[in-house]
Amino acid sequence: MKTLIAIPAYNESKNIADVLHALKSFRTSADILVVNDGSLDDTEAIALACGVEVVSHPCNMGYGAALQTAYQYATVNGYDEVIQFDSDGQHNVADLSVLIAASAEEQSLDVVLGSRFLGDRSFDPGSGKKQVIWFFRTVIWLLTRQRITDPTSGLRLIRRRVFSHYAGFNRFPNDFPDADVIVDVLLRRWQIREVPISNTRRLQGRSMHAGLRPLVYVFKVILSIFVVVMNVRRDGGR
Amino acid sequence: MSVGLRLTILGIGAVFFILVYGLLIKKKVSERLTLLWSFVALVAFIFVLFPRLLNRLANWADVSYPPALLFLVTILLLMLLVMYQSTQISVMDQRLREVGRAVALLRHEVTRLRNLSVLDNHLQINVNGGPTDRETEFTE
Repeated sequence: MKTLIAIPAYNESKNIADVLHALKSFRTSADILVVNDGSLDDTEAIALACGVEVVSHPCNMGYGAALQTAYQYATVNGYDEVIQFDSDGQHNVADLSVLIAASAEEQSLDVVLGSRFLGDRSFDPGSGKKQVIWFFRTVIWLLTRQRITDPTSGLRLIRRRVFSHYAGFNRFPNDFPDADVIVDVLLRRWQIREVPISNTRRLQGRSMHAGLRPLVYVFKVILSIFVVVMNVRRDGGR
Repeated sequence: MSVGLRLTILGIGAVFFILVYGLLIKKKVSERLTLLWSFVALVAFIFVLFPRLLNRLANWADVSYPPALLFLVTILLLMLLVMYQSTQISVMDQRLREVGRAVALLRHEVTRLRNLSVLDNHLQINVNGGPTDRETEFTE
């Protein structure tokens, strides 16, 4: 099984080296790809110095666009699965083995989601974020009748059938591919399983959800879910 | 509507027409948008040339003040135009991101191939025990 660990990064010069060193010390045959999303700092140089593959966008195009670049790279280079991993140090490298084990255990799975709520029951994302997560959990359940505990988790393993589909033009959200993508995957009857993961806070730097952005995030994802539902109905989930 | 006002509006319309077609010739506006702007100008021309038409339309639509109907039609046309521009911006945005992705992946591929060719050159030097043709070419 050929696996790619895809790391979208934007201005993460303070965190990227630690994340890459942790990943490289983790015994895995997976290749590592950093998608530098037009960073203005030394993210690209640091990642290259760490000896991993780096694809650099000519300008900042968004988190979703960076992931889509990784999907295109994985499709062209014949990877079987892609693991999305954040560049801010929020994800624990040890959780990779949980995702990989779940994928190896159940061959019919298309997506393995890391859930911070299944692992540490006391995980508290903060009151605002908790409400957003509850809201999207409810939306997903209403639309698909499936219970997803952590719709905003960025740690995901995606199989070829799914990422090669999303690598296509205009098939993936540019900004926040979270609950909308989960709804899309479920409506297309692809198999999802959640596995418990731990959670740590970002090491340093500014989150892409800082300031007023959570509000924009909620409305954008709601609109994106609406588009997903209409499109899946139109094309019959093909 | 006085003759002077009608002539002024006609003059403004003519300048607008020349401006749009000038931009088209300089390729600063597309043929499709020129057609759209020409349609807007044509509607304005018709109302200037046949002012009673506006009164008749206002009567038919039960609008007591005919210019209000003209404003309504103008605002609706402008809104349509802005909406069309918004869709075009979104389409362009998607295409631009796709081009950006292609550039990023191709640049990565070029770097990889360049590194491979450098490595290949080094290997040839080691095997042959001397510089390759390409190396000689560069040193000369």
